[in-house]
Amino acid sequence: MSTATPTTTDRLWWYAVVDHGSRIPELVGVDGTSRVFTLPTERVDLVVSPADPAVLAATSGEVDERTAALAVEHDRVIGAVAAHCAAVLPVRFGTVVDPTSAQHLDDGTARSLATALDTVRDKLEYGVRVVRRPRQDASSEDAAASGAAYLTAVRDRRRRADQKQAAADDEIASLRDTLTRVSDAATSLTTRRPGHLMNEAYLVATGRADEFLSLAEAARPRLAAADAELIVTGPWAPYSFAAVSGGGSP
Amino acid sequence: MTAVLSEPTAGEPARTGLDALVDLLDRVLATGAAVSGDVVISLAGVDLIRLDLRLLLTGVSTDSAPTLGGTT
Repeated sequence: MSTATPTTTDRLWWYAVVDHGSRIPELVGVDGTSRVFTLPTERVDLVVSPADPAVLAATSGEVDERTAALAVEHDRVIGAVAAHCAAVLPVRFGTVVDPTSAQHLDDGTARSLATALDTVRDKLEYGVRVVRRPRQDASSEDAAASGAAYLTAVRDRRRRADQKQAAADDEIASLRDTLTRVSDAATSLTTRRPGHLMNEAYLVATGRADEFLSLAEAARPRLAAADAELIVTGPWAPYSFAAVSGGGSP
Repeated sequence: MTAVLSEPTAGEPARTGLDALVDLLDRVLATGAAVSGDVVISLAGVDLIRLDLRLLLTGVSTDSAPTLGGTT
């Protein structure tokens, strides 16, 4: 277990916030070599590791392979800490702090972090996406023997597509209502990609995770009938619910 | 090293594969507590909008799937 370790480095990569006095497992940081440890403050502890300048160079500009790989490593550390601690507040990727000032967080920031930590205590995040998966029907348009038949086939295909879309919209609305009832919070992710009909995150109490997943899974066949695919990912540390307010917020 | 792109078991939430990797990047790069003040030296300036998903298929290096405490 790694607890507070005095460090001579002048920069620390900040992964998460945990309760004061938390013990975390032995872990290496995003650079693959440095040790992850907790930096105690009066109210909460910061999960950090020495920040390699070469690593920091990959955290600005366009996202490339290296940034994506660092993100995977960042999540690895946070996930491992979350498995040991009841409350873990993930910090924005690429946050680098000064060790000395970090140990003396201003009270407003410390209070905000402690409050945010309480909101995610004993909770996990699941991702729920619905993606359009139109089936490739045998084309009656190709087989049309006349122009009129062709236009009829096109109109029928469009009508079927509209019906599928309406059915998918209904199922998504129902799914959203159902999952909201068994979760503590929900949020739409801003990243929408082509074909995405729904991209949301749910904060779920650990004791209700099985119920949440069962209810989500029950929608799969109905969505499939509407030419839509359900994708459930997780559990994640509560990234999407890690907002801080007051002194700690930008 | 190559990305883990195996598909999860049906009915289980994904922690591996492309779907999970997309969700991981959506979360890690765009969410999490944003803390400001004297304590912070720098913040990453990555632009998620520019994220090219083809990168995920070809280049993300990881020996193992991302897991929450290695439970999956």
